[in-house]
Amino acid sequence: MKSISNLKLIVIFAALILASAASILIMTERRQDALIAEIYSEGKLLYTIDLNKVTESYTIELPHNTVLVEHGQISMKCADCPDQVCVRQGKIKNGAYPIVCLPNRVEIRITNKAGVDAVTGR
Amino acid sequence: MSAKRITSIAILTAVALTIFIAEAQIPVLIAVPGIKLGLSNIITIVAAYLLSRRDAGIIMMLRVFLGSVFGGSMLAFFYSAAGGICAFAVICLLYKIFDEKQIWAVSVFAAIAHNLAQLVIAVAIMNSPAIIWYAPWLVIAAVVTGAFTGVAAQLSLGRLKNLNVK
Ligand SMILES: [Zn+2]
Repeated sequence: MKSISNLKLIVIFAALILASAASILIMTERRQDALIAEIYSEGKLLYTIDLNKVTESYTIELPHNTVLVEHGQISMKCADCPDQVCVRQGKIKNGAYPIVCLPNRVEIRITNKAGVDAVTGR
Repeated sequence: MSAKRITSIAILTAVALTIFIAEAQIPVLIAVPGIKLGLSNIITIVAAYLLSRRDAGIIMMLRVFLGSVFGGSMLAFFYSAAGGICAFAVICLLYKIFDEKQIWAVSVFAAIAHNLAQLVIAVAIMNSPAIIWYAPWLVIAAVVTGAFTGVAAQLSLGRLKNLNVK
């Protein structure tokens, strides 16, 4: 087979990076009207919270993780997992990148499902 | 199997394992569940060009197996097996197209395959299709780490050939 020049390869890889960066930007900046947070543990839905209705921030204690619920955003405050990936991810404000704690099998997703009986308190 | 070949496989497996275990200590820069950078795939590439593709496959499987024996859960095994096998498949495909002067490019493609394979495993384990949106993060990470390790492998392969390992 014919070889591909280094220059062509660099152009291909640069284009890949640019396309990826553009899609990440679009994903994270995307505005979302309804903010329904769902907290899963071991694949089971434990909490459903309408983040737009949260007035005072509070925490939810799970066996190995602590979730911080605030108005319009949600984050993993602390966790006992070794990698701390979930904590480092910080606050999420739309459904693009759910917070996942793989070692503890905990996940926080934001959906825009309307008509869900979302609870606002604890 | 010659003693030389066995020794070469053993040494490269040891190096791959060392990288694999050291990699676990590197904090993941992006919040992607369970996914590792796959730096040890570089040994699969070096082995493919230095020894043969078959030996590269043996080394990859030994690394995946021993790596999960030493420091991993069942989940970690699935991640590294999927990543290692897909990277190996890509290396085998590209082996004919790219010569030793373009190992860096093989490394980038292998890293992309490795990362995306792990992403598919993450989607399956978490049962969350939304995780697929991490793909652009992983492609960027793969291009950067793949090019970096690929250049390193290319340089060291030149030295290894001079040592007449094969
Ligand atoms: Zn965690």
